[in-house]
Amino acid sequence: MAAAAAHDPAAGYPAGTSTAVAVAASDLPATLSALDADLSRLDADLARGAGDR
Amino acid sequence: LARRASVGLAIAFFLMAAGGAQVLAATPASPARTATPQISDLTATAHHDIATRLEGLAGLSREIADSRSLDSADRALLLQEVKSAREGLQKLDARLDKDTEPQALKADVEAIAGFRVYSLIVPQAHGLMAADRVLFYCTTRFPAIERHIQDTIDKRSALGRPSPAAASALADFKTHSGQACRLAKSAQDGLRPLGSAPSPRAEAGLRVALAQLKETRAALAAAAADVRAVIQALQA
Repeated sequence: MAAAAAHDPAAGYPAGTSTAVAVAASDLPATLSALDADLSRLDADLARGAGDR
Repeated sequence: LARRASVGLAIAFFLMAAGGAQVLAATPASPARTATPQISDLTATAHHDIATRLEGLAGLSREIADSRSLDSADRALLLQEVKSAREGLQKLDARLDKDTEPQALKADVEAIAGFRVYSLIVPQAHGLMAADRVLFYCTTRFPAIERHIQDTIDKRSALGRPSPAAASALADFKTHSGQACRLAKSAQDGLRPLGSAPSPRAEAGLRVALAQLKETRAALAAAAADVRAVIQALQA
């Protein structure tokens, strides 16, 4: 978030406005990465699931 | 897999031998008999298969308890499924040593797969972790992001600096985040009852849920791109 603060998108506008958008969405990339890991694991589970038969 | 397949073949061979199959009678006794698996070997393999599953369930149980994405209802549901499977496998394990008849052993070995540890319980847990991760985001983060974007657009408009590009990106964000949340909810609703579904339906349900979660991921990525577009528009 340091980068977002350095290039304050709210410059000239009410302080912190669009920076707040960036802050609110700051963990969206991490959530996407975690979901990628979840889906990879689920793919592997389904491939392995045949092992019960 | 190869091990499990070999157990099945070994049991079939064992049953043939126990029934006095002609193929054994027609061949020299020693080589054929040494190739026939002993009931103790099959029992040992079955114990191993159960132990492997119990170990997997113990790991899954810790994963479920530690998960930061599961909601409380799904955590309770999954822990109950793990507990039931564990108790059933432990009872089966205790019974194996009492199996002296090949048919009884065959039935018990087949019952191991019936607990569906790999084909249902593990993937169901991981699918619910994925769905719940997105649904948590839907209830906590998306509303805040949307509110901040709208506030920013409103404040700019009040200063005589409307931002139609940001407004357009916000509309896209609402569409994509809504899609992600609906798909994740559908996956969650589909995954929850699979524990009591017959195997073919449960396996089909898992595949549907995986497809929905992949679509969820695509919609979430689109929503993230929309947020970047909003910020870019506001910086212009």
